[in-house]
Order: sequence, then C-alpha cells, then structure tokens
Amino acid sequence: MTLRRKALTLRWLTLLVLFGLVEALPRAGLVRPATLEPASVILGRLMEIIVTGSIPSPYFARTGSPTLASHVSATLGSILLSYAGAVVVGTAGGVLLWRVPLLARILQPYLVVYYALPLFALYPLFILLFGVGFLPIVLLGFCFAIVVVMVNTALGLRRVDEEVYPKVGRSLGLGPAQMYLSIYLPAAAPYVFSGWKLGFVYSTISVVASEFLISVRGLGHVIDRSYRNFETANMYAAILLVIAGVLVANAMLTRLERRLYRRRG
Amino acid sequence: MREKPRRVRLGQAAVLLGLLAAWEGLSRKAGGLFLPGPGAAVSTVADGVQGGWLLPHLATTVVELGWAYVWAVAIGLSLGFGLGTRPVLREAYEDLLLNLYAVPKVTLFPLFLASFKLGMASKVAFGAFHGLFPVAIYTWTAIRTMNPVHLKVARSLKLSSWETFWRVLFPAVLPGIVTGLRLGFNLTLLGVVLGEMFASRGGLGFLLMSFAGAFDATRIVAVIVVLVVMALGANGMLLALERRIRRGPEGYLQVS
Amino acid sequence: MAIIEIRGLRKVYRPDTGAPPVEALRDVSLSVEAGEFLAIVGPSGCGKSTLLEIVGGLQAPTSGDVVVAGEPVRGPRADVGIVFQEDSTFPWLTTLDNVKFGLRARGVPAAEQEERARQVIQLVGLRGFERHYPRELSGGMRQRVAIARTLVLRPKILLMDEPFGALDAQTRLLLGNELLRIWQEIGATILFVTHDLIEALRLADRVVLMTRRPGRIKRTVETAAPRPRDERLMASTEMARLANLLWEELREEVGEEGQG
Repeated sequence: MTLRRKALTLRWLTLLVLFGLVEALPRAGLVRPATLEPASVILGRLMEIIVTGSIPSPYFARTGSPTLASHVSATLGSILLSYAGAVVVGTAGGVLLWRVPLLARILQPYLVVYYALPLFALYPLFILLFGVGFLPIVLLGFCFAIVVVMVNTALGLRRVDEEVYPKVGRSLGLGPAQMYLSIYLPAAAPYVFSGWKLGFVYSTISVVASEFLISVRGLGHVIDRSYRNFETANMYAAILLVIAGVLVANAMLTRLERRLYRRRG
Repeated sequence: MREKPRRVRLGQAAVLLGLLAAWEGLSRKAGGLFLPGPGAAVSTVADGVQGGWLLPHLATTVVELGWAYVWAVAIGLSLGFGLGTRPVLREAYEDLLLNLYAVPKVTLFPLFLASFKLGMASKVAFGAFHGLFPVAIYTWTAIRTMNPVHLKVARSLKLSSWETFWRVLFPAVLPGIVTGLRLGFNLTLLGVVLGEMFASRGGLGFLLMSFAGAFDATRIVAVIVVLVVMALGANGMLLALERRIRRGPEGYLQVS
Repeated sequence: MAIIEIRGLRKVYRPDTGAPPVEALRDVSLSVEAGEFLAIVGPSGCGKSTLLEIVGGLQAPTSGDVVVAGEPVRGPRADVGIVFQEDSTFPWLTTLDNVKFGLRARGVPAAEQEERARQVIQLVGLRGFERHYPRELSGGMRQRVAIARTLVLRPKILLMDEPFGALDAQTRLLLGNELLRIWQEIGATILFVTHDLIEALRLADRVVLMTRRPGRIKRTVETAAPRPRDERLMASTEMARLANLLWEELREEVGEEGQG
C-alpha cells in the first residue's frame, strides 16, 4: 500500500473509532447524558435545529431568541465587523511599518510580545466600560486580529523588496502609483492574504470565546447556555455547528491562499 | 549582533511612556472610578497582596499553568516528533491537527468540564489542550524542513544513532522547537485563564469575572496588571532563551 | 562620440547599521562606442553590478560623471534597458503580458502593444509560448522573456548583469549565440557583465577586466575577431593569448585576496 493510502486509512480509522466511542459510550451508560450524548443523537439534533431554524429549548423560547438565525447572524456580524476593522487598519498599519523601517524597528519588541499578553483579560474590563453587548465583543475581536494582519502585511512587502521585481519596475521607469499597483500588489498579495486568513481565524476565536463567557446572543452564547441548562444535545449540536462553520470558512480561505501562492510560481 | 542605534531605543522608550501616559489620560477622563490609571492599578495590586485576596488566586493560576505547560510540552513534543519522523502519521493527521488549531477551542471547554469536573484538573487539561498545538506544529515543521543533507553527512561519517540524534538532529531542530515552546506557553496561559474565567472557584481568571460582577474596575485592572507582568516575565525569559539558541542576527521573531 | 562616457566614477556604500563604509568602485573611466558589444569581467565583489546599475540609473555614484547619449544619467531612462541575473519575470503574468509590461506602463496603445510584443517574442525565439506562465518555462526561456521585455522598448543601450549566470552551461552557450543574433539584428549597444572570461571573449568586441574591490579598470583587450566564434576560433593562437592574458591578470586580483 502506498504511503498516501496507508495514511488515509489511518485517518479515517481514527475518525471512525472516535465516532464509535462517542456513539457507544453514552449508550452503554459508561458516560452520563449530562456529559455526552450519543453521536447519532447529536447529529439528529443538529439536523433538527438547522431544518426547523430554531433551538428546541424552553430557555431560549423564554428569552425570545429561539431562532438559529438570530444567533448565527449575531456571531457572524460580530466576526465580520471586527475582522473588517482589523483588515483595514491592520493592512494600512502594515504598509506604514514597511514604508517607515525606523517605526518597524521601534515597535518590533511590542509586536512580538503582543500575543503573549492575556488579551482576553480585557473582556471583563470592556464589559464594565461599555456594558454587555456587541461593542466589547467586536472591540476584543479587533484587538485580537489586528496585529497578525499588520505583521504579515509588513513582512510580505519587505519580502518583495528583497526580490528583483521592484528593480525591474524602476528600470522601466514606473511611477510610484504604478509600482504599487502593478508590482507590489501582485507580488505581495499571497503574503498579505495569509495575514488576512489568520486575522479571520483570530477574530472568530475571539468572538466565539467572548460570546461563550458573557453575552446575550450568538452561537457561543448558545453553547454556554445549553451547558448551564444541561441541554447537552443542544450544546454539542451548537459546538458542531461552530466547528463546521469555521472549518468550511478556513478551507475556502486556504484554497484562495493557495491559488495566490501558485500564481507566484 | 546588530547594536540597536540610540534612535530606536529612544523610540521604544517613547512608545512605552506614551502608552502609560495615554492610559493615565484615559483614566482621568472616564473618572478614576471607571478606569483606574497606572498608579491606582499598582497600588491596588499592593493592596491585594496585603489584603490577601491576590496571592492565593495567583498561586492557583501559577500551579495550573505549570502543570498545563508540562503536559502541553510533553504531548506537543511527542506529537511533533511522531509526526515529524513518521511520514505516515504526518500524512494522516497533519491536516486534522492544523484544522483543529484554527477552531475556537473554547467551544470544547464543556467537554473538559464534563470530563474533569470543576477544580484544577479541567483548567490544566484545557490549558494543555491549547498549548500543545504550537509545540507540536513547530516541532514537526522543524524536523521536516531540516536539510536532509545533514543526515547523509552523519551517515557517511558513520555516526551512531545517539550521536546522530544529539549532534545533528537535535541542534538542527532546536531553534524551531524553542519558538514553539514560547508560543505554546502563551497559548497555555490563555487557555488556563479562559478556563478560570468560564468556570472556576479560584485563579486570576475567576477574579476577573467576579470583579466584573461586582463592577470593580479597579481590581480588574490590578489583576490584568499581574497577568501582564507574568506574561512578560515568562516571555522575556523564553525570548532570551530563543535568541541564545538561534544566535543569529535579530531577525524577525515569530509573532504568533 | 561615445554613446556612454564614464569619468572618474566612484561609489561608496555607507550602511545605516553603523558598519564601516565599503568602497565598491574607485575612479572608473570608460568609453563605449555606439553599437559596440562590451563585456565587463572581474572577481566577485569587484563592483561590476554596481557599475551597471549606476549606468542604468538605479543607483547614484558618490562622485564622477556618467553620460549616456549626451545626457548625464539622473535615473532610469527609456533608452537604456536592463536585464538582471535573477529570474525577473513576473510570475503572475503570462509571457505576452510580461513583455507588454513596460509598454503598458508607458501608455502605448493596446494594438501597438500586442504587435510589438509578438514581434519581439518571435525575435527571442519564444513563438508559441505567449500564453505560458513563467513557472511553465525553463530558466533559459524565462531569461528570454526578460530580454524580450527589455527589447520591446527599443532601447539604444542594453545593460546585462550576468544574464546567463543562473543557467546551465549548454543554455548559456545557446543563449549567448541567440544574443549575438539579436544584437546584429537590432544594432544596439550592449554592456555585458559576466564572471566567465571565455564567454566574454566569445561574445564581445572588447573585454574590460576590473580589479578586486575597490573596483577599477585593470585591463582592456580588443577581441577583433569575426563572429560567430566557434570552438576552432576560440582555440586559435590569438584568442588563446588574450585568454591567458586575462586569466593572469584576473588571478592576480583574486590571488591577493586568497579567496575566489
């Protein structure tokens, strides 16, 4: 058997075993329903939620937000808003860092250390300052994503500088606007896009975690509430939904990223 | 090693002072009660130590962090070496693990809670779960991108397996691993604090949430300061270690 | 009147990291006649690339004059084309778009772009590869694209910085002959930097040998031999004499440093 075939078999076998465990352990009574429901039940509940568009739970019915759409849109909205901000400000910041090397050198230690800081500790503070709602969630998501976008943009542009293309552009007498549009943009695009992809992942992680902790709406919130109300099937269904959504988005972005890198040869 | 010109050092100091000044400025505008300034934060930390509400929780967090990191490194290195040296495993699991890395792992926290119950164990496991990924990923990448010619040289010099490992493999992959160890630490800290914030009866994360509930912005900021100092301290050491091992010019260190 | 006049050229690099300054070129003077094929050889680091970039307007000299076609050089010029050693084809563009690149930047109308580009692609022997991307082409073909991209702008002077340096020996030979053919068709002046003495003697009218850093002109020889210069001619006594002369002088430069 070729390596590839062996690997794929191994992978599917592992997934199958995991699935089997998730199915069998609760059914066999080895794990309490409050901890884990059988896989088939979870999947069934997920289907039900998607098809009916609402979450079967007295709690959510009571609080007036039983529809799946209200939560998905809340989460997506927060992600997109914080991400858009991070992309705009982060890319611009990255270009600035590239154009002003002194600034980049000054900020370097801060940028390196940025993600070591427990940014999440800011969330309770934001809640105190701005109240529970979208603002703290979006703000934190923005803070999480912005630096990775900035750094990747700056690095990507710097990498282009080290290559021969800008020299070609200058030798052909290109003006500054032309240099940016027809040389730096296509040459740096794959690197900048990698930063954008990472930024999206960070935004998502931050938003979902925030909703999980304190919020009134969103998929993270649904998971949290379902946990506290012992509605285990709903909880795992929501978890699956979030994971599936993130994986799909990630896969699409990665495909785009690969296409950009392929154009670079 | 390039000497940092004075301009850069001045600039860095200026940025730091500027941030502190902005913080102080913001706190005055919002009213000292809403957002305490740097001075108030530091004095609250001192109060906390004296008043006894800070140290026990700090200890909890540190203990959880320590155990979580040990597990993260152990599992991460094992996974990293496994996937780095056995192509079958890498083909099978690399994509899965990379995808898992991108997923909001916090959504899986209920699983940890349910498995480990309240108490330190769930936080330790959760923290380790966060931290093992960079360790593993950087380790297997370092192994994979090692120049194969080095191994050929080792074979041609008839080095024993141990010598090959210790004098060729290990030094070649160490820089990558050390970076993974640093980023793994940061994620472990994040995981532990998140876990404490969500469901805990102790720890700095727990303090953050309970002070939020009590509308006590001053103490929240104090706890944040403690966390920042912890994070910076640990990172300072890990960065120094990383630089020593890489021993190269001050190139671009990985951010995340 | 020489088409390129270089007088007393000097170039000193002062790195901003505080490292000591590097004198790349010291007192270089050179005249190049219109239509001439001039080769520049020398040990590594002798400043030949720097010299070329200064003539091409990509770098400014520390002191000295460079006059091209009667005008002092102040920056890149339309009548001077540069071909670099590294693969400089834009990987995100097809061959045709690569070649049209400079024309497009100058606002040449689309129809004319198309016509001129196709013509030059034919000239460099890449007909049929217009829609290919660089990653689908060999190293030698990519250099042809780079040359075509420069030629399509009809420069009076072609500056080539070790254009075949990254290619294997056979491709180098082939492209060298192609270059001669193209040169004879378009009649431009060529400044050709190379580390390969034999290649220089085979292609050029004149070969200029530079000293090691700080670079000065050490020796100029005229090849004065008809082209094409096949193996037999290259093995002739006159050529052998020139080759030996250059080797000896080059070895002096390299030997003093003790490194290649």
